[in-house]
Amino acid sequence: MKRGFLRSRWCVISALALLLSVVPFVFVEAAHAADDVIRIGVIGPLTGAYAFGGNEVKNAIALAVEKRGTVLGKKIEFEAADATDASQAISEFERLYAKGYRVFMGSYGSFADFAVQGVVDEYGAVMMSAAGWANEFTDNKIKNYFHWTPRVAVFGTRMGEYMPQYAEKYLGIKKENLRVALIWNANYEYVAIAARDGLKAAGITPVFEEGYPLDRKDFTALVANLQSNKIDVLIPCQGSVDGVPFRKKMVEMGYEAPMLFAMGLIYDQPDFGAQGAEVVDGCLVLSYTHPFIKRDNAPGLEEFAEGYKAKYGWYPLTHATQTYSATLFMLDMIEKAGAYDADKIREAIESADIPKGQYPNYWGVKFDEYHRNVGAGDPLAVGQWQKGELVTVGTDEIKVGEPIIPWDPSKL
Amino acid sequence: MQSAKTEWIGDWITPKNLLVCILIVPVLLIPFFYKGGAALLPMHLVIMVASYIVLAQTWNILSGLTGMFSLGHATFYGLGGYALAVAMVKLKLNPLVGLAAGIVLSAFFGLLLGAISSRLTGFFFTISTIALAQVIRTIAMQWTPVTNSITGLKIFRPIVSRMTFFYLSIAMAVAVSIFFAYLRRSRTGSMFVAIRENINLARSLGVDVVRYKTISSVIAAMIASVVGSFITYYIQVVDPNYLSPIISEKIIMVSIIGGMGYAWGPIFGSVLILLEEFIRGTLGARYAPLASTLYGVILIVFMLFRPKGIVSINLKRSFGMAIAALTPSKDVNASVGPNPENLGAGGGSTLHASQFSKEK
Amino acid sequence: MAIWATIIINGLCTGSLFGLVSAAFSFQFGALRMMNFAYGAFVMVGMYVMYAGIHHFGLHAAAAVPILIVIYFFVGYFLRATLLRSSDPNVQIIITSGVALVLESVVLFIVGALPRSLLAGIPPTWKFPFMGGILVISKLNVLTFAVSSLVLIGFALFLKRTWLGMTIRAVVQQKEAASLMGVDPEKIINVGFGISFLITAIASVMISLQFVLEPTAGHYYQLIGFLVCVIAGMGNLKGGFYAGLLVGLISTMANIFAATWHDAILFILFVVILTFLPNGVFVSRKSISRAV
Repeated sequence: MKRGFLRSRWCVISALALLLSVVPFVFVEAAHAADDVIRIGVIGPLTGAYAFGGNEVKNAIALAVEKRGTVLGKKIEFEAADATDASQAISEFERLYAKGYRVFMGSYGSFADFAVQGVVDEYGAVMMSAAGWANEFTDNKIKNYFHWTPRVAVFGTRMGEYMPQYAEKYLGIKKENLRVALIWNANYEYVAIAARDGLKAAGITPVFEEGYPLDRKDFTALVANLQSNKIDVLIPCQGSVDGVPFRKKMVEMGYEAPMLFAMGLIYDQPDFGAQGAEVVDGCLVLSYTHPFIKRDNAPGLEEFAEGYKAKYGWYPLTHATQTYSATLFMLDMIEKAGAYDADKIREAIESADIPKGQYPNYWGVKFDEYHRNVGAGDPLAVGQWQKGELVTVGTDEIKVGEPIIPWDPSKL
Repeated sequence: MQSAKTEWIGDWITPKNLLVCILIVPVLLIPFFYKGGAALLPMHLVIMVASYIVLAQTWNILSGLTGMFSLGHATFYGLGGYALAVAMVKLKLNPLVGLAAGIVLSAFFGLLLGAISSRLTGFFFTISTIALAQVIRTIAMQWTPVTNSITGLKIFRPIVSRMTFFYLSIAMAVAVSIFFAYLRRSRTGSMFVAIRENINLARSLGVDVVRYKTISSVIAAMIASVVGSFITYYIQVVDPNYLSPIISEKIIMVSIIGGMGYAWGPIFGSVLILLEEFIRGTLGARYAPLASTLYGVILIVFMLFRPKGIVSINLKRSFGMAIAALTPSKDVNASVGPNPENLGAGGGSTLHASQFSKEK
Repeated sequence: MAIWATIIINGLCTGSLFGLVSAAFSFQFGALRMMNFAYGAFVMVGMYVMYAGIHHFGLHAAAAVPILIVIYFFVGYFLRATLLRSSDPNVQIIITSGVALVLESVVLFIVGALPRSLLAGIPPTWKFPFMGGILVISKLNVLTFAVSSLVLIGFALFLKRTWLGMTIRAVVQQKEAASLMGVDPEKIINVGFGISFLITAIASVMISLQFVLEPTAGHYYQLIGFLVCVIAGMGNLKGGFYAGLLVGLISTMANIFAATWHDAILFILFVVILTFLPNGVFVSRKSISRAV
């Protein structure tokens, strides 16, 4: 055995072990770059099932950085890191952190932000999420973490506020007599729970509820169930994989709920609209403020929406709009803090109190003790698809058209 | 295989193993080489690599030694993670209770797998592992009151120094790798290999096949579950991604590319985990899917040309081949033949030498 | 009553699609002894090829389908001829998993993860008054059912009646004997693999007409393919069609009564059938390769 040592494969093994022990060092060699730039990082899914949302966020930050150009007289450096699970999110955070990044924007899909939440305080970095809305995510006291967009409970509350008004005004049904159906896929059960809570607060109990797995293919049974339950208002919490086929199946089977009032998600997105007017028309949808609200009240929205479309070929979604505004706000706060320093930026953000109509997303900005933006979600946008276009029909501050309920194309 | 149990310890104190042990030292010193935040990423990477080494070793026990080819190994990992998180978040218990619960749960699941393997072998066993993994994943996605569906559970723990996790993970990887090496040479391990090589022969010689298959899957399940709990405690999040087929595929890849059935296999294969980080870190996020493409290509290439993994690569021979190709002289060709040391090295390792002659 | 009829007819049509999806896999495994874990990935790629052909290159669907089928035949042929020559099942599983990984990540790299639909708008339907309600039958569903049954019948006839089909069966049953008769068994198995890909192509066309396209869509169809094959008994093509219908019905019933646990029900059923009836529900005791 000894004789064979140098000729054996242990030679290779030793070489590989050496290699293995050296590899970790390769990753940090670029650790300390110049200090004359302001760095903004984003960690989120750029590939995988949530890639589309993640890329929207990335594009929006890029546009915001481009618009501001410099902060504190320094160039802004922006890097998007891809993380499709929690462990990747941690390692991307640390890679950017080692490069000197101290300010991070949250991305689409909560899991990456969820993981990074655990480390921002430990290492002293500021992060602002403009998409995460699950309760587990927003109800933690984390010193350096801010939530720009409303949490899902606010969405549920607004659903309970807005929906009965529309039902009474247009369907002529008092909320005590409303027959509401709530359906969701497994991914969005927490959204459905928020909606249920919001309705409960308004004194409404859904008469029909169904949750199903994400990869459901066939919706005939669900549509038939809704039909036989004589529903007045249908509240879907669906994503792109199930929302589009479900809606198509509804139209195909000739069933239309008197009022379909979606909890955001797929129902306000362009790939829903791309299904054509006969599929999408009439659907009402509750969403964050988006590029189709009244643009007069929201400075910079026009510029952003058109600039985004010119650059990427389609109109930005709600998350892009929110992230864009949040990034502008963050850059303003760095300016206000006067230094690229996590503690100073945090203090600047904590002391911010900005009224409505200052940022492209229209909402005001003020953070509570959980670092949730209390200005967010006031108001939410109610959109209706009319002739294949998303028209904002509520609330009064930001609407550009009137809803038609139940849907009747001849009334346009 | 040739050494008796008594010689086992002495067998291990060889120059090669000592050399490798010395080479691990720089890894152990990583926390002291960097200042400030710069040490975090290398430490995180080492923790992930070490975890994958352990996971791949457990898969190696189940599939490499016993021949129960599982494509659902992430299940055990995820069960460990969920047990810890549910115990901590929903039941407000000590994390150690969660760890223990995860081990028990996984052991139970390992028993189930053993029971299934008594009726199913080969391909049928493999697809049943996929289906079972799907069942568990569906439950994690649907049982919202307990698992919080897709959002997953976030645990809150006191801040623990990264170094603790770092050394713990390395200790775990080393311990499990040594355990694997020990197991492979033990009587139980011989039974595993006998089942893998020829199940009917083993049965006819009186080996209790079902019992040993069950032992194998329970051991693998319990250790994998510990890793799941460990990683969950470290990252502070558990979500259905822990149960995804992608994790299973990664575990398998690490094990196979390193060398299936060898203690050293997962250790070399774990370079792949760094490769992924490297691609995402250097090429940028846009090219991140190409890391998976590269994984796939590496996997195919290894399976076609080096089915025994990195461990089976013989530098001398590879150089010999290259030299032989360049200078067709008789001397070099003579040294290209099978190396006697390779033949005795591992369970079924004669295969790569004989296969060589078969193919050409 | 009309609603129930609608649901059941719809479930059966979806089931026939499941039967078609599983057919190629069943043939590959049962007859050719190839474990193809890239099967779902190829279904997914087929869907995207259709999408690209129609939406990017402006082809008419009637032109895109034959092109896809021809391409897939050669893809199958060369896949078997180059990567899948090993007869070791574990090697086949690993290599095809690698192929699946490559296909999925390349599709993700090129087109991104945004789910897409091939056909915008509503598929046409027939509506009949039926027992006091309205029976709604989608024409697309009827087309799916027709195509699935025609393809499966045609394939069975092809294997029974044509020279090539008989040769494939001969090679599968007695490799040595067949080669003594002057047949090159390797080449025949390559062709057989190509033909199975042809069915994969048709299945992916039918799926893309009905369901959403995603880079990860293949996983589900692969599992459904396994499930149907296991219920039918591996390699049993005729049984595969019936098993597909059965799975369609079970899936529909699960959707009505326990939609939340639909997937769990299907996969537990899968494991139970696999464990207790490994030869399938529709055949027992017969040699699998003979049942083809």
